[in-house]
Amino acid sequence: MNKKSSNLLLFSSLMLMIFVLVACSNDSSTDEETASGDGAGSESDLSADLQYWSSYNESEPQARVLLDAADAFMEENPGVSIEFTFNGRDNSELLPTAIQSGRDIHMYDANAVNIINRFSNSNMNLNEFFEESYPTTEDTPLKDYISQPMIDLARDLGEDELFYVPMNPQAFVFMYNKSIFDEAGVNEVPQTWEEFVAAGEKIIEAGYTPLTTDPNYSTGIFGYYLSSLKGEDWVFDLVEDETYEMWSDPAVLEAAKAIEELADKGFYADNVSTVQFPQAQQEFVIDENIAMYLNGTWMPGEVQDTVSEDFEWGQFQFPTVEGGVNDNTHTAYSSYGIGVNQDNTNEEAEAAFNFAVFVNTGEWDQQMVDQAKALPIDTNNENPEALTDMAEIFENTEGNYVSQTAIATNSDNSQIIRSAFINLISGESTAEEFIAEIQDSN
Amino acid sequence: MVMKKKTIFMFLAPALILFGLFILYPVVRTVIMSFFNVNTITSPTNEWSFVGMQNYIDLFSNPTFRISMVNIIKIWAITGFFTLGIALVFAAILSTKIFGRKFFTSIIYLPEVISVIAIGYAWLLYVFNSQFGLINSFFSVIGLESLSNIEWTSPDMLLISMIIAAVFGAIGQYTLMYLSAMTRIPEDFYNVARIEGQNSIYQFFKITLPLIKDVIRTTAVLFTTSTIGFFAFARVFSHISTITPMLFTYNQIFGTEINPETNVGMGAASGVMMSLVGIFFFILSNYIIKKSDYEY
Amino acid sequence: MKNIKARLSRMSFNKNQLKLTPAYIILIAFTVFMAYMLGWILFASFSSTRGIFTGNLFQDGLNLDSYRQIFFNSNGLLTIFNTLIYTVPSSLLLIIICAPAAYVLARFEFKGNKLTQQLMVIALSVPGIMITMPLFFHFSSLGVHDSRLVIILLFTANSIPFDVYFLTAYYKNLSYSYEESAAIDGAGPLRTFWEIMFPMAKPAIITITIFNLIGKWNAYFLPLIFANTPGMRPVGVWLETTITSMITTGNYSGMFAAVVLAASPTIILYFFLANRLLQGVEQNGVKG
Repeated sequence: MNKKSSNLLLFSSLMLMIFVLVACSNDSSTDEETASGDGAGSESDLSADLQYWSSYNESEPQARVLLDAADAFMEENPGVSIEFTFNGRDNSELLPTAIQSGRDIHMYDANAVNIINRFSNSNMNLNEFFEESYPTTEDTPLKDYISQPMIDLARDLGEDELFYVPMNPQAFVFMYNKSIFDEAGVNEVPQTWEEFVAAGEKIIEAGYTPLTTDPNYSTGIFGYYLSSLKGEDWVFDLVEDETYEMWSDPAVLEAAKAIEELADKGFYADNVSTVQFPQAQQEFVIDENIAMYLNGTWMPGEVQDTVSEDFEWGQFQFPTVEGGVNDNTHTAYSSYGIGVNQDNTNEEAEAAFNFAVFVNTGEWDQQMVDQAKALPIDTNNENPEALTDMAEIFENTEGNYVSQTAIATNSDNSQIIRSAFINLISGESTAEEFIAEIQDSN
Repeated sequence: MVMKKKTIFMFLAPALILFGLFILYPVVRTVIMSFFNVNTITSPTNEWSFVGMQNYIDLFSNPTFRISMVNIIKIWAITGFFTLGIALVFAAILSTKIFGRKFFTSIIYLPEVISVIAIGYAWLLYVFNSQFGLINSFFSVIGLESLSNIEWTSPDMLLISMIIAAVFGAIGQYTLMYLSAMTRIPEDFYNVARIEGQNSIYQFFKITLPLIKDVIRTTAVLFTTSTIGFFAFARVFSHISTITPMLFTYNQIFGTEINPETNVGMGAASGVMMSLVGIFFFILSNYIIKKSDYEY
Repeated sequence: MKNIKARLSRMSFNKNQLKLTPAYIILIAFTVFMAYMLGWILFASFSSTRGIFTGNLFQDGLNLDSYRQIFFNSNGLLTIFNTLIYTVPSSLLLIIICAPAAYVLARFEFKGNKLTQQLMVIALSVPGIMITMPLFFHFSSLGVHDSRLVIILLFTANSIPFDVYFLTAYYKNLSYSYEESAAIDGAGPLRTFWEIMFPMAKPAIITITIFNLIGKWNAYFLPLIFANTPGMRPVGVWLETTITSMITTGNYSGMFAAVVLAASPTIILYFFLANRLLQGVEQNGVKG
């Protein structure tokens, strides 16, 4: 048959394919802020074109502060240009593979634990940079200038090395509504679990609901209780135990009983089994009939569009549990951080680090505080109004737990524990049933 | 008909080349990968170490995976039954001489043109919401307190809620398929029944259903193959009771915000298991609804 | 006489309509539900979070902030552009590639025909995750990223099994007489295919193209893995990212605004094209 024309068909369809593909494969132009200075007459000697991958979303206030800070930084350092890619929380998943596939990324931010665990192949050791002082650190070496607990945490995580510049410190503590506490006659924040239960009972008497939670933060109270009782390492072992035999330990039952008691006494909001994040935290500030919520210091920032101006924020740390190994000087806290890619040239690394310092000290750290209601990392900056109690909490803090406590650290079972726990706090199941539900999942 | 081998090859080549490069080769490589310990998705072959069946053993001792397997079977059975069932009813209604037939058809098909993610969030954030949700406020307005108190988004109900949303998102496509088959049935078949005085329910079961049996079989197969990849709704509803093998595997490969550790070898094993289950269901749905002998 | 007949038929018509009452109830209930759901979401997107929670949507007046925020901070237009670029070429390519393949598979006997068809059918049951790991690895090690070409190729390849399966079934049911008369006229296989058999399959091709366009417009899984950077995202992935960011800032009206923006292009287009589209699909639906 007609060989020529079948060749022609193949050829023309291939050409069409190629044409279509080439026509639409123009390399993606990303939408980030770009600006490069004119270089001439520069006072600073920093010079580099930087790509910054962020785990914030463009619509979050932190992203806006980063963009504005970059503009200011580029104005002061005309040799530097910074281009952002805001990936949101997916950043932790996207970044390692992006760097391994050879993409130029000079600096990035993420939750501190993720920087250490996920980006270890690209993290530059930053010890030397921390020894120096910067224009915004008042002639003090950076390591002595910014918040010491956050530097210590960075050293802990990095096994005595520093791999990131801490930003946006955060702690997981009880947020409470001061007006409700006042009205219910709770004049002192609870220091012990008994005082906590007593405070809740007063709140119920005054016609309010003591507690609520969204599912993702729900197990924090249980994790805190167990970490106080047996220590954090024990809780890590508990969630990693593949036989689930540790769940038969009396300590687990004791903690579960304590929570069951709360549920029995009606501490939790009625809809606690149905809320989907961030419904409960919105109701906390909109309805103003719930007194306490174990949440992060990021919460005032997340609800800032809906909270009324006269809402009175308070914080207190998780109370001391009787017979526990840790008291209420142990707090789950962490921070975000900016890491620098070790494949950078010296110039790029220098510029990247300078920008990381620039955005986390002085004026721009204050901007983070003001716009995102975040805690400052620069000790000269003031806590946001909603988080004034945090200063005292950090002063009292001696020990650190992982963010949201160790109970939620094994992704093989964290959701199983959460689901069973929601049944416990909504009164659907007893402490024994709660433990059985988790053990049965095996 | 005869055709030269070379010409046949010309016709097949583009499809086969793309199929080979982007489907066959990756699937084979993934199957091989499932017998190796592979830490990250970018690990080159020389970092793989052979572990035999270990990934499969780990997989089946993983509680989350087992839950996801049970979930997908529930989703397949319940969603399948209601999606195909409701679609049949809608199609039967729309094939009658009803007013506004075109309008109603287009309304029923509408969810098909909306992104699954949008449908998922619309149901999760709005319809099922316990504070301002459509269902709860509807029942409390008409005074059915017991129904308005249903906790759609509680751990026990979430899977059912997700299934309802999934059924809503899928009926349009199947309704249209059935409708198209039903309109092809010659009117004579019904005239005979009508003369014999049979009612329309009888007609539906005795005439319509047997005649579109082949189409039902095809839709059952189509539904099954699409269920194995059930992912978007599960990611939107993101709860242990709604996790599916596809989402579990995705988390194994890319990690999650809480737990960044990845195990790509196990992810591959999980993908292989899903494929086997998919092929099993595929054969099963072919078997349940045997090919009929009707011709028309 | 004529009059009586007309009246009789009208009566039976009314009787039929009466019998259809349950059918009307079902259809109207579904329509009202749909309209209410979409309408409320549209209104909520112009409300405020406080308004949504207190059940009084417009207590703070008409609120355009959510839309402003989305237009200002995320790439709405780029997203639509991306989605079009991924959707249209791959849907066209699929037809050009799959129709000839399906034609020879359906109508000619040759070694490997059965095997090819079986491979395609088995591939239908293989979940997308099976192809992602090796492909992601190879693209990374080749340094290919943010390439729209890759997405188009993936979108095309991913639908080959279904499209070939669907079109093969259609070609199997066509009569052989067309080809025979073409052969008598002395037409070669290529001319026979492109001038006779390809147009013969037009109804099936239209149906499959509609399925492809809709499916690829709303694709989520593959782009989540291969096109998940701000400049590359198509609608589904964009929507998820945008809603996640609205969730962290507790902006409920923003979440609903994102849903509205993601869904409205196809809904608007659908209302113009619904009749033609449905007619096409309905007339040529799937064969058993």
